Amino acid sequence: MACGVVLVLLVLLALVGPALSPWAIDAIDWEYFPGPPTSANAHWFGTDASGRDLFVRVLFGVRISLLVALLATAVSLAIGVTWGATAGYLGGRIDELMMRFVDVLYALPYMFFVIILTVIFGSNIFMIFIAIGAVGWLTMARIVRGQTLALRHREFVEAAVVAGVPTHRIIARHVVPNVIGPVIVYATLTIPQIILFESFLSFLGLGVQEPLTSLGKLIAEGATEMETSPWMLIIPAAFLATLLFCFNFIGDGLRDALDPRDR
Amino acid sequence: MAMLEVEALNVLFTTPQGKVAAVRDVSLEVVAGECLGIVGESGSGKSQLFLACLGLIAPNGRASGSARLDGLELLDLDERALQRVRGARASMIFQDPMSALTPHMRIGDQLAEVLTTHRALSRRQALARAAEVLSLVQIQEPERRLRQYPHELSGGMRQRVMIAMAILCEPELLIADEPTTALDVTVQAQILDLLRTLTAQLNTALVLITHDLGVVAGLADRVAVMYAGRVVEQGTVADVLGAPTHPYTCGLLDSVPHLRAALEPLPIGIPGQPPDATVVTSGCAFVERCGYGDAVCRVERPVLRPLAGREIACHHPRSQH
Amino acid sequence: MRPLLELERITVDFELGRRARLRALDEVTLHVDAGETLGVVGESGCGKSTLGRVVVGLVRPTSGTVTYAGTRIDCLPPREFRRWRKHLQIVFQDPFTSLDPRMTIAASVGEPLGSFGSGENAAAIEERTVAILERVGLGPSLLGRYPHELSGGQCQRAAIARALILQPDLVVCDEPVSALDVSVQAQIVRLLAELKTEFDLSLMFISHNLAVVRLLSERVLVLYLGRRMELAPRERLFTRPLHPYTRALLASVPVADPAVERARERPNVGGELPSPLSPPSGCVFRTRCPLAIDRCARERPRLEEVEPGHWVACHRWAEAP
Repeated sequence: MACGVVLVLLVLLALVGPALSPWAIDAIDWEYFPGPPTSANAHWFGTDASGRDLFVRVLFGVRISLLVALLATAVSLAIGVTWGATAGYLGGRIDELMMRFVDVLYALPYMFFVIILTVIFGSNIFMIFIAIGAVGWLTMARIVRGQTLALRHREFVEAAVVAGVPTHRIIARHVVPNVIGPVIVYATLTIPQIILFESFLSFLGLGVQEPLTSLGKLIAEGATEMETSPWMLIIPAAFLATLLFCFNFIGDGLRDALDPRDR
Repeated sequence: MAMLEVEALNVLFTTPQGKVAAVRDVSLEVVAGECLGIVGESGSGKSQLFLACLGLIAPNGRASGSARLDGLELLDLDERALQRVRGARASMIFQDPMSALTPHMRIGDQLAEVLTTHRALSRRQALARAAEVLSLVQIQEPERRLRQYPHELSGGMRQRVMIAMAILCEPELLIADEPTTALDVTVQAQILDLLRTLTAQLNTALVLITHDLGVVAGLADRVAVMYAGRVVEQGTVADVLGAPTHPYTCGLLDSVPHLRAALEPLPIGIPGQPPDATVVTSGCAFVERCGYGDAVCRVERPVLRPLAGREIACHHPRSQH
Repeated sequence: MRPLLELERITVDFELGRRARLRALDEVTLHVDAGETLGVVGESGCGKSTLGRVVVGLVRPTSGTVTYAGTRIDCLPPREFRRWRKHLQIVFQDPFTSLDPRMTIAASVGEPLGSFGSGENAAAIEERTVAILERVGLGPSLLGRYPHELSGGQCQRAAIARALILQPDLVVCDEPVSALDVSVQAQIVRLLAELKTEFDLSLMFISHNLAVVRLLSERVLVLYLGRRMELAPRERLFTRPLHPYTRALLASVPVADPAVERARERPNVGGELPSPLSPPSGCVFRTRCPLAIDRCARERPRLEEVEPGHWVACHRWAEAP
């Protein structure tokens, strides 16, 4: 659970940090660029090639990256769990149809899809996370369906059927809470993937637009200035690595915490 | 001379919920050629007791005390020495043969493995001996069976294979943990018969762990009744099951319906539920469910003492009926 | 008076892949009267569990009819069938898996009320839940507990409470005590006997444990490989069984009295259950029957009433000792 603590600290820092610095996210310090980290003029992380303070930008980047990842995960959870649980529970033709639909979507090139969505709706940050979430639900649905198939014949589900509980309630009250364990683990593992994917989009120029920034964007910028201004790459990369590390550990902890047997 | 002598054996598990004493201060012995029945319900520690003797308890458990196989102290042995004992001098058969047999290996290979490990036989010799033992356990066409996989056999057949595997090296001690619980009652009768014949033939000491009093009544010579990790009554089957004196034994026998018993009143059972192993009581563990307990029972734990030809741990033994 | 539940020529086939078909029940006809307990016994593969599931609508029969209080219910669409569910409830074997591990006891037991939308509000539902839980012996302090915090016996009581909260007319009990400790089994059997009288219930009591079935049932049906072998009033079945399989079953049940158990004659039914995928021709029991003759292979015996209320499917029933 140390990772939980670290994560919370990071989030707090990201929320509060920029307020501590005199620099705004796009304010340019004409006198000191690019400059390594120094405490002289409150450029604790240094500045980037355009003179913007990195401390503020990195923390903003953390905010954006997390926001995109969490919201995208929420979207794919919502769609994926409902889809998968329903298909798995109802079985038969409906299951086949629903999962064929998933298979077809899977076959579509993911990137193509996201690019089309962003082109149509613009590189609005919200569009990005919806686009990612709308594609990410597919694997979630498959996982949930698999879990549901195993659960469907457990006796407490049969007991609910015999007791006359309507199907939608069985799915909501009995199936979903009991498949949540692996789902949560999977979700926390996808968050790092989404952050990376968003970074990739930024690298292509499709991600977050100025003046907003994300860790991915910062890393992409830092990569080009790596030889002269290594701090521009190292600092955001360190933050990204820490975030990924934490999420990968938290999944296990969450699943154990949700297991009623350990209460 | 006793083949297995257990003295003051304790098994303690360390769990997140605290320390759990599964077996508390148990002493008993089994003689060659005899069958000792161990009767108990959940939490009695009957399985853990013998798993500890063979060094098979979970890693978070620790056994202390003494368990001697023909004089050899088992609890002192390291894992390698124990591996030489298991399968060769002391064997165990379990309740569910499907999980005890490896699903992806043929029967013949699994049996041969035991022999090549312990007896340094060549593979051909091992398979020949395996076929011999399969016919000993009354499996027809043993050569054909050797080539089959576990899932191709029925439950009763798999149990016979497990017994065969256990007696391949003619062990001195055979521990059977609920060997027939998962079987149909008509097959159970056959398997119990088989165990009786085999152990007589090989003069093996047999320990039969079960919750079924009828099985014990048919097969065992002596019986030890366990509750909450301790032995509460032990003696010959005729004495303990025919004329029980410990309130728990009496309660158990009263709970079991007989095919010919009167229908009214219905068996009473024992009120309450089996004990929680994390709770340590100073007095008798059975007092909450016993109809005859009093203040003494709550405070002072009864020890095993001889009484009427058997041993019993109780302050208020019932008179025999 | 018309029976409460009538099953007419129920056949259940399970398709396993493309070529194999498993016939779990073969033309089973039976009825249960109001207030009566019908015991259904048999070993593994006899179809007794499937039978129970057909009654409560968890399994659709391949052919045959299920009639409840004069109305055919097997062919109803799911929506309509739901309305009948409150009359036919079930208690499963494993108390832990039959309760949702993530729901409290109170939530599990009260759930059927909520879903029947009888317009009751939360307070009324809670009241009824508390009342039924008390009736089965679970005090209000256990309401907020989860299944893993309770013992097997307590969970089974909760499962029984859940089955009764809708005030059904018939409850299928599918091995309700087999997973419990012996001392607790007797408690639950008593409870069922009391509830049966108090709520005027009909029960279909399914078990492989003949002695337990005998305690609660008025009539007993013996199944083997999905077919009816014998159906008789309780006392007749246990004192004068006419079918060789019934006799074998009774002879195989171990008795906890060592004097009796050791003196008994060994039952002479060898072999094991044939594969249900390819049952023997004629009488399915003939491969293990001591009385089998040629006719048994050619001609499937029909279940016939050979004495008042006593039905047997055997060509040689008259030669029963």
